[in-house]
Formats: sequence, structure tokens, C-alpha cells
Amino acid sequence: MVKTNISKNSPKEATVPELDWPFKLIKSHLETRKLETENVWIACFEPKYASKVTQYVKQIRSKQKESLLHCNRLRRIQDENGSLELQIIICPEKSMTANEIGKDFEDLGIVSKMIFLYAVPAFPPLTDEQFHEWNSVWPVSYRKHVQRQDVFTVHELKRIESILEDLINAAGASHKHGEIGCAAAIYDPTTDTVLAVSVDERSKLKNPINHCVMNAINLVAKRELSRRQNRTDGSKDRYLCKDLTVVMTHEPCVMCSMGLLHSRIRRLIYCKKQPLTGGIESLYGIHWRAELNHRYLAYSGWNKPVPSIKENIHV
Amino acid sequence: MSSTELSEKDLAYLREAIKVSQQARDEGQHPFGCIIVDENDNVIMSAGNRVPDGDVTQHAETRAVGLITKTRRDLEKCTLYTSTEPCAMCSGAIFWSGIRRMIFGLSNENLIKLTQKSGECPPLYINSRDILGAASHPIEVVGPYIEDEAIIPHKGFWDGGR
Repeated sequence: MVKTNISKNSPKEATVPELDWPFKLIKSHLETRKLETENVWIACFEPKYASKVTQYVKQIRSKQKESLLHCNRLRRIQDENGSLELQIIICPEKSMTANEIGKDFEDLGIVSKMIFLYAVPAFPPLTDEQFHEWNSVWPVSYRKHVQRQDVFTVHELKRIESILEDLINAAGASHKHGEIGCAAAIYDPTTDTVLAVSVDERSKLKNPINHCVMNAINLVAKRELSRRQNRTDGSKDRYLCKDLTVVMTHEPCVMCSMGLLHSRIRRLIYCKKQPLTGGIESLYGIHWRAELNHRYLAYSGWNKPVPSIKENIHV
Repeated sequence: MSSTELSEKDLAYLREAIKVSQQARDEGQHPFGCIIVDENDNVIMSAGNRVPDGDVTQHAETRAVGLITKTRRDLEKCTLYTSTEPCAMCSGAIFWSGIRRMIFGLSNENLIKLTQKSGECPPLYINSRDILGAASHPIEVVGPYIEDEAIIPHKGFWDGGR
């Protein structure tokens, strides 16, 4: 059962704290990457030169392609005598030499204690963990990604759990009939409706791409097609699975992960990962890639007795 | 551009796939098309994109694979020719089909330049070689080729000139 710290009399809308979710958010490859750095020229100077130096840096930046926007330009530190000094990022190492910067400073009447190379974080932090680690290297700005913040109500989690239990039963029954034991459902949380439930039908239909997710998307497509044909309200065509939640027994393969992306789902929840073939946490992280114009949240690790299938089988 | 020369026969089939992509556009669909050719040079399947009909998984390649495997399963010696480099979903479908050779016209990279403004095709910089190269059985990926011809059905389509 879903563990919640909310009493039975709580309203349907009560939300479950993230720590009590029975699954974990799957971070993208960008959110799990280790610190990577880029060398920049740093100038060290007394606060009285601050406005001259910042003017100079502004001028330098206007001539160059902007990068490292996530790094704060200035940091304040105390020198060994306890007096305040400022350090500023001038530019990436490849843009100028220390001699060129030194000469410019001389011309502008800026006295710099030191111009040195320093490795700053090359990318903006995307998680609290990255922020805390990278910020200690050099101050960086961090804004929590609004799309990464999700809410589950008590009712929704219980509903998803019951859908998942039905899927496990369906996958088990299908497995007994010689199919691969996995299943998928497409659920609309706003109307609390299950729009499609499907098992894998590769053997039955003699078709290698009849995976459970592709079948489920196909069922939703049929519903949408009949809605389009019978509409009288002048409503628009819509993206197939926009704002919907997909529940699965196992991690989808690359084909299915991308099919879900094309369908514009909002979130995916599954129990068991397929380390050799999965397209989400195992390979590629198709659900959340910076270059995509759509992304979806993905959660895994719900500890349920899903049918055991070989790790090298795509679902 | 690929370094190896494409045979006249392969070029002719690739042009056939591009023709299918033009037909798809003429029918109000997205401009993608592919054909599957067997070892005896028979075109055993031809399919265009059907996404605007409502099912976003109905790309040319997934349709072709889905349709051909209903009647035939031994596709190892077949070649799939497609007007445009397959997306990750279609690359997965090609892997599943058992087809061992795929030739494409327009590259993913150049398609993205066309479609990015429309927001309709999610660009994914995982190319088909990465996915098919990691397959448990070898799949030969050949392309891009004749991009100047493959791009024609896309001209004016993604910026609203349909």
C-alpha cells in the first residue's frame, strides 16, 4: 500500500510528501553529471577598482560569444590579512592571455594583485546536490526547474497503485499465454479515467513492434480519432497523450520511450528497470533531454511483484 | 554526406522513398516516406507518415515495419530506404523488425533545422547510428545521401506553407 502520513479522513486533494512517494524521480543525464569545469582568467583586486573592472569586463563580454552565464561574475574573499578583496571572471582562457589582460589593466589604471587561471563549473546546476557541490567551487546561480516539481494527491497515488496491480495481473496472465509479461496503462488524472490498458502482443499478432506501450498509444489514438469524427463543439485536434500519466510494469525500450515522447505524455511511472534495453534510466534518458522540445517526468523503483522477464528483452 | 558511393540501384530505391514522402505530403500528411526492398529487388512495402490522422507513432518506418511483419518475418536480407533519417522510435522499430540494412536521405541534423521553428518534431540528437550501432545484431546504416533531393518534399511545409 501507499505509505502516507495523512489520516483516512483527509480530503481527496491532500498531497503526499515526496519522501513518502513509493517511487523515485529518474534524473536526466544532465542532472546526474559530475562537476565539469572550464578554465577562465580571474583577476584579483581591491574593492576601490570594482567599477573600472566591471566596466572592462562588460566591454570584453560584448565582443565575445556569451558563455558561463550561470557563474556569478564576482566573488568576495578575505585575503590572508583579513582585508576584503574581489575576484572577477574576465573571460574564458582561450579568449585572451594574461599579458593582454594585464596590459589593458595598466592602460585603465587598475592595479590587480594577481591574474590567474581558475576552473569554474562549466554548466549550470540543475539539482540541489549539484548546486551545493558546484557552488563551493565558484558561486553559481541556481533556479529549480518548475517542470520538475510534481504533486501527487493521496487519491491519485492510491488510484495509480490499483492500476498497477491490475497491470501486474494482466501481465502475469499474458505471460502464461506465451507473451512477454509486461503491461501498460494510460491514465488521465484530471478526469480520474483509465483511457487504455494493454499487454505485450508480439507473439499473438506476429508483430515485433506490438509492445504494450505502442498498443496503449494506439488505443488512445483510436479514441481520439472517433472524438474528432464525432465532435460537434468545434474543439481542436489535440496532442494524443498531453497531460496524461503512463503506468507500466517495466521500463520501456528506446522505441517505446520515444513513442511516449511523440505522444507528449506528462509523466511515466514504472516498477522495474530493464538495464540492457530500457530507454529511460538505462539508456539515453529519452524522457528528459535538454535539446528536446518536450520532456516528461519519469519515476521508477515501485517495489511490486512484477513478472520477471529477461534483462535483454525490450518492453 | 557519407563517404562511400551508393550504387545506382540503391539511389533509385532511395528516390522511390523520397517520392513516397512527397505523396504523403500531397495527402495532407507529414513529408516522410520509406520502402522495404527484399533480396530479390522486390519492393515489398511502401509507407508514408500518418501522424496527422491522430496516432503520433505512425511514422513511415513504424508503419512499414508494422505492416510488413503481418505477412513476413524473415527480413534479415531486406533493406529499408527512408527519405529522412529515422527518429529514435523508428530506429527501435527497425531493430525489432530484423532488417539489417537501412539507407536514408535527409539527415536528422538538417531536418531539425527545418522543423525547429514549428515545434512539431521533437529534435533528438541521438542519431540512428548510435541506436542501431548498439543493437545486439549488426545493422548497417548508410546515409545521408542526395539530401538536396530528399529536402524538396519538406520545402515550405514546416513554416506553415502546407
